[in-house]
Amino acid sequence: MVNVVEVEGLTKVYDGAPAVEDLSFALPAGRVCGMVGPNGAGKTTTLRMLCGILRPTRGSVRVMGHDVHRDPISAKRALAWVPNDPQPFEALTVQEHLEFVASTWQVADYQTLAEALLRRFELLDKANAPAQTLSTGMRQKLSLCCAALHRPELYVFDEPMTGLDPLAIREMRGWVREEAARGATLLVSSHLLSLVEDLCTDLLIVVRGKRVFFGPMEEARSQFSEHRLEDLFFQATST
Amino acid sequence: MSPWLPPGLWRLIRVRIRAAGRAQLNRMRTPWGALSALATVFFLFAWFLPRWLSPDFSHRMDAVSVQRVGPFGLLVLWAGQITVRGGGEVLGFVPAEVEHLFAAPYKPSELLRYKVTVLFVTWWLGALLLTPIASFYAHTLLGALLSVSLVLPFLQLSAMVSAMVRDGGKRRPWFRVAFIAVAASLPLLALKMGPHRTPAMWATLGAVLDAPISGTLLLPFASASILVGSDSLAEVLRAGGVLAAVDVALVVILLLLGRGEWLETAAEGASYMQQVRSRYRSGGMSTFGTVGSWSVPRFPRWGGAGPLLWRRFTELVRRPATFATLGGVILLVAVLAVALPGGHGQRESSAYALAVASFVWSMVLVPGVLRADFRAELDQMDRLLALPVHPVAVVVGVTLPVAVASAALEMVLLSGVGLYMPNVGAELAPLFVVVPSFAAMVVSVENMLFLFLPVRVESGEAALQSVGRNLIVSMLGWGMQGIAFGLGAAAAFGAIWVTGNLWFAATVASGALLAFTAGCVLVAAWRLRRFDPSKHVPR
Repeated sequence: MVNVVEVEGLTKVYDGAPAVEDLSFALPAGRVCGMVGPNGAGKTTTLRMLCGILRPTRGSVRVMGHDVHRDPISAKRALAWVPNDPQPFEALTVQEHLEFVASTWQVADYQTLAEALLRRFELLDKANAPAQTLSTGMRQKLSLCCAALHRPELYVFDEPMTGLDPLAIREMRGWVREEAARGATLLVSSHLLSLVEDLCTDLLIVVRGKRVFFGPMEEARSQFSEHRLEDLFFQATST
Repeated sequence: MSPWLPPGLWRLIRVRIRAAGRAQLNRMRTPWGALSALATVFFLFAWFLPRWLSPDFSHRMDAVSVQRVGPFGLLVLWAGQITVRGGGEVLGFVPAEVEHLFAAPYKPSELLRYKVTVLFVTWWLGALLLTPIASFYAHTLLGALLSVSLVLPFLQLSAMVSAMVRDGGKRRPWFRVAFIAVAASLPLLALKMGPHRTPAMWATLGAVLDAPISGTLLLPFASASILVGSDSLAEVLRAGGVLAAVDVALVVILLLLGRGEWLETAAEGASYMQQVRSRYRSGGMSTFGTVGSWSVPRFPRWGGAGPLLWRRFTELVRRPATFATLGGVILLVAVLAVALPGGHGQRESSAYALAVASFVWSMVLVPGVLRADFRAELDQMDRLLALPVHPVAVVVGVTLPVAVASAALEMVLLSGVGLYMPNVGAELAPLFVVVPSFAAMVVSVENMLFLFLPVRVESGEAALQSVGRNLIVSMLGWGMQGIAFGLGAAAAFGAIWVTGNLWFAATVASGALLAFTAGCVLVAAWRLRRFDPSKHVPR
């Protein structure tokens, strides 16, 4: 099976101190991988390298077989990035954001999908509202809608549930499952262990930039002899 | 041949321009927004119209001086731009662009072309606004237009090229060595060019400027000066052509350098600028620089004002800008005092002038520069309102430190005048009684008005309203401070008339000012109790 994302020996060093060290993993299509780790573990740095925003000191990232740093255009066509603190263009409306995304990824007839996404995430009545009037949760929803509009093969989420209300969280869970069923791969960094436990098929635990565990959720449970992810997490990260 | 920009990026530029115009119009729909915009227009007309209509009015700079010293001045500015501003922030990407463009399928060169396009649109729109001002100083309207539309891009593009070179140097050590070598050779070159054995600085400068190689090196700078200082249309057009060619060359160099991996540097710069912007929005200029670790002793509770005073005082002493402001002013006054004219009468009158200038600076301007009162709390209003503390205590706790700081500064300056000119110092001594209450009055008036009409330091997309809004608020503040000053002065003159004692008059004036301050604090507390962050805090 062809892997959607392949990370090999990924390393990022800041002023001699490694933020991410020799990280490797690969995910095939349709998998939902939860990335967990304590604060400062290098999760966001890893995700930003995956998206081609930061350049690795060593190692490589391939998305759909394309190296993110050598062939960024092809790799980025296949991925969508939702950061932990979405920063929309303040003066642009919700609709204009989607218009821009559609134009960038050349999504033909995007209006139907855009409307469906806005309805699903309860942003339809805000379609003409400037982003600066949106609450934190609404900005997060807008970021999700932008990511989903071009139906990427790989989603990279950094704390995607920040600020979402219970209804939106429920919608988000359902939507993640639907996208995985479509064949998309989702890499989700989150501190919400219950969410990771509920949604993810695979688990990546990082501590101080290093991989502590990577594999299917069931394998994690058997390796750490813990059934609950919370207990498993504390056992894996207590070094 | 590939197009300059992909359609998605053109679309983004179009919708951003449209959105900026819409935001401007939306802000004018509220009564306060409309009033602010009207005030801006009124201000512009009141300021510019007489100057445009009057044939006598001209600040045209002397052509010879401009063309002689201008290139060198611009060279110094340019050197500062490329050496001081060298990080990713110079590339000008904002967090929204990093989020939406850097992970999108665009080549770095396309993103750089997008940024250059956005900057040129911004520069040329800005040039339309700045040309009327520049036209007072330039010799021709065309020269004014070309100077503002070509010099700003020249400075910014140079800084961007410099940032790219440095970014390249991070990955290639030989690049860094070459950059340092070129930078180090510039002053050597300047020394080599001039007859440095000549002691007179101006003669050396003149010789440097006259050297043939200077002509080539200073061509862009000389062209900018010709734009401002020349009456000849042909000369202006020629200089404009040279500067435009230099700008185009810089764009080409930038795009060649921008084929590499600079996204990380730009993302770091965007993140840094976001932090700066966030601090700037809440604290103004005084929040720049590294924060120190000094502290002040804890105060008693004083009904809740004590902890607030401690927090504000601690923040004040930890800001490098506080010391930069205070130290800079003291140093300036010391330098001026040394440079005062030598005659006895002249020295006395200069000392008085110095005392008045320092009073205006430290009492009126410093509180605004420090911004360590409610003007720095705009994003913290929720926390202040949630405190179990009476609003009067909150107002005192938040505003008193700035009043103390500006009063302390003024006392230091007055002491300096006293030491330098004992006779003058003895006459100014009663001011020591007035200074603290005057500072308290100024700060309390400004904070009271701020609670009624809060404004942000930076204006975002509502620049049109910002000028007018600040003007209205400032005029109200000056009006109220004028009334307080009048009351204090009337009380002082009354006391002098009755007793003839300056110290008694100063005490009475101080009492009048304190009474006015107390009134302002009460009104501010009343307003604070009714302050609704969801409605009153501007975005």
